[in-house]
Amino acid sequence: MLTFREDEDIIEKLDELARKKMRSRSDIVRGAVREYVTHKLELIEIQKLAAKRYTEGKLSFDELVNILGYEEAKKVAYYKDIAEESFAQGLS
Amino acid sequence: MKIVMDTSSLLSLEFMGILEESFEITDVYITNTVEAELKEIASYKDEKSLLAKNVLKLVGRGKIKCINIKNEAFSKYLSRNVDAGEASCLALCILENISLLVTDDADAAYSLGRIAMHERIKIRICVAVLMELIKAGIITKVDGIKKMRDLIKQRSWEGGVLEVLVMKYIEENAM
Repeated sequence: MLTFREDEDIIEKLDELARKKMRSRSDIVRGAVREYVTHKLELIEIQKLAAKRYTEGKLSFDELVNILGYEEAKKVAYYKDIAEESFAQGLS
Repeated sequence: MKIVMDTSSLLSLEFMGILEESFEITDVYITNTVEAELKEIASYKDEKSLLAKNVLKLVGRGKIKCINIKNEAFSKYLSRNVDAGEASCLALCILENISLLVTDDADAAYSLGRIAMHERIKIRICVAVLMELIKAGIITKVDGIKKMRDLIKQRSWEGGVLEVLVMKYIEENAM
């Protein structure tokens, strides 16, 4: 059992979608959560694998951008840098 | 050496069982916002709850120094990727002239990176503390590897950046 609060305007849109799809509120929410969680977990796995291969030197930054997009690739590259500095330099 | 730690790094170090050991080489500072986050986590009934309670005991004993930072001092650093705890930690670094911020939140680290660099604040992850403890001979490399491996498993970081770097920087020279 899961309950949640949401703004009135979103609830209205949810009801509108439920009417158009001839489904219940719960069906729509259940489907949306299922789709989001599955997609997000797949994305995390792809990000993790790409980050690992980039850290191993098996992917270039440009290739990382092609897989993850520029902003996410920059984030991975930055994290790799600070993690590497943490291992190599400790707190100094 | 003074360092500021956010909630994620405190929990990581406590999980590895090296938070208290870190006081032998550093003075650890947190903000009242981080303390509030720890209190919230401590109120849950999950595995992080006990870790948060242990960290709060160290705050209570004065081993970790808690500094009040007003919302106005850090609200400008808040964003989609940076919550109040992390933003307050950066503000504490700037206000108290502390040049090291330890966080395990990759999104927050990235978002705060440019300001931190401008303010000459180094951002590190919890591994930096572990490496210092190994360097100081307080824990062994073999013990350090085990602690890192346990943390990677607990945080579901298997197959990621840290596993590669553990092999590169610790395991190759450990045995």
